[in-house]
Amino acid sequence: MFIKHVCNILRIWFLLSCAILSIAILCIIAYAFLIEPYTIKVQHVFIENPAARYVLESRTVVYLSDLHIGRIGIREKKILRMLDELRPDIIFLTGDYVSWKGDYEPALDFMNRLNASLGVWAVMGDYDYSVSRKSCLFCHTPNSTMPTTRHRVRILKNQIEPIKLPRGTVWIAGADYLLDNGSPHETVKHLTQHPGTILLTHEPMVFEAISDNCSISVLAGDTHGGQLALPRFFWEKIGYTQLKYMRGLFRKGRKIMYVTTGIGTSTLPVRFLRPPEIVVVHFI
Amino acid sequence: MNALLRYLLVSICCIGAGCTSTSQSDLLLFGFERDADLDRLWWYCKTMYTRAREHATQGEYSLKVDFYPSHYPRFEPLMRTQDWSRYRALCFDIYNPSDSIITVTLRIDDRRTSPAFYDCHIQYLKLRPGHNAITIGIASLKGCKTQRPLRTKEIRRFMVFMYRPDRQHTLYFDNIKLVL
Repeated sequence: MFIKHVCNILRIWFLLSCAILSIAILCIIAYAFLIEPYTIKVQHVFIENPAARYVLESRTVVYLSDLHIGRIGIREKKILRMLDELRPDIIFLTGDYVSWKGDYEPALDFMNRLNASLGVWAVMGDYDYSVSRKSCLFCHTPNSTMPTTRHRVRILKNQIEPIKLPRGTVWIAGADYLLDNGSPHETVKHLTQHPGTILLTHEPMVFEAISDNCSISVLAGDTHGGQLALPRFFWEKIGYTQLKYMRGLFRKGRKIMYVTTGIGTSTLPVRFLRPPEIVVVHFI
Repeated sequence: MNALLRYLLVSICCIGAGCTSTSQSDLLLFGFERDADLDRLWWYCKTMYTRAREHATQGEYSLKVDFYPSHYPRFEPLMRTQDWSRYRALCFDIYNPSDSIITVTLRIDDRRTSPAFYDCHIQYLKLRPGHNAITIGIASLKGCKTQRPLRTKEIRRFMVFMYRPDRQHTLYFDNIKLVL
């Protein structure tokens, strides 16, 4: 009689635990799908680059990546509102503005709505090339070689550009996703010729092609920080090549890189403990 | 009943003959007859593609390619047919509308990722003014420095490029096919 009673209590405890566990899992799933992808935080990052600090003074530099825009929805409107509040002087974008083989129009529309007093500079990511023909729309009017009138973002394709300010010049370089134009090492050398350059790249692995002696600040994206906070061995198991530079600050020699978790999602519209972020860069 | 059987037999034979004749005929890779064919090309900066009604050697359209001054302006289709081993040659037509010879480089790779320049097939094509019919023997595809025969079952890249042209050049491509 006593044993039967204990068994009943244990069974109730077991069922209750299962129910609590199931509810917890459901809550986590709901959070990961419905809440975290839209919980955009402003991440302040401090990067040593005295040359850029001197020239830019107290100007606000904001950087976004991996937007993966399918339409101008809740998340995109929220980003635009947050950017209005931040009042950036410079906006950097490091690629993946569209979903894979998706519609390019919403991304172009979003770019058109970006405002920064000194300008917006960008590089393209692998997703942006997923429909090769449409990728031209970022720079050109359809079926022509004329520059686009859709937005004022400067797309850098293995190019460098100066921002001339009263206290001097800061160089912005953009490494294009299609870096293999015959001589990638020459390209990287060309992009990093000016000390203090801010190099935009979609792929963090470009960091490895830069000489350790270059005092360069690299801003990268692509990884989404993994999107899910999964243990390292999982990424190793699936052979994720950018595991080394998943998110955060990296330093080697005189070069330094920040890899953002980005804004949007790919494959699954889910994020867990890897919230989307708008990065405000402070050069120190 | 016999008539029905005869009809079925004749139908099956006809379908069989059709398949056989298709499999034994040349394979047209690109004719540029549809606008969607432009989605089957890699679009690079400093190269402009337009379908044109001029200088078509197959169907009604050719592909007008404008090469602008830059490092490597190039024409590169997306490769769907990778097994070229069954075929004897790659043939295509290029129309050179200028009045001088234009030299372009043909590159064929059996690897997509980071292929070394010296290990892919490289061939210089001197295009006379007017129509040029190009024929490349599949058996002759070799790494330009290594002399390694290319794996013709796994052709990954085919491109025609110019090296640092100092001015804009226009060429018309059509009738890109593999022939038996």
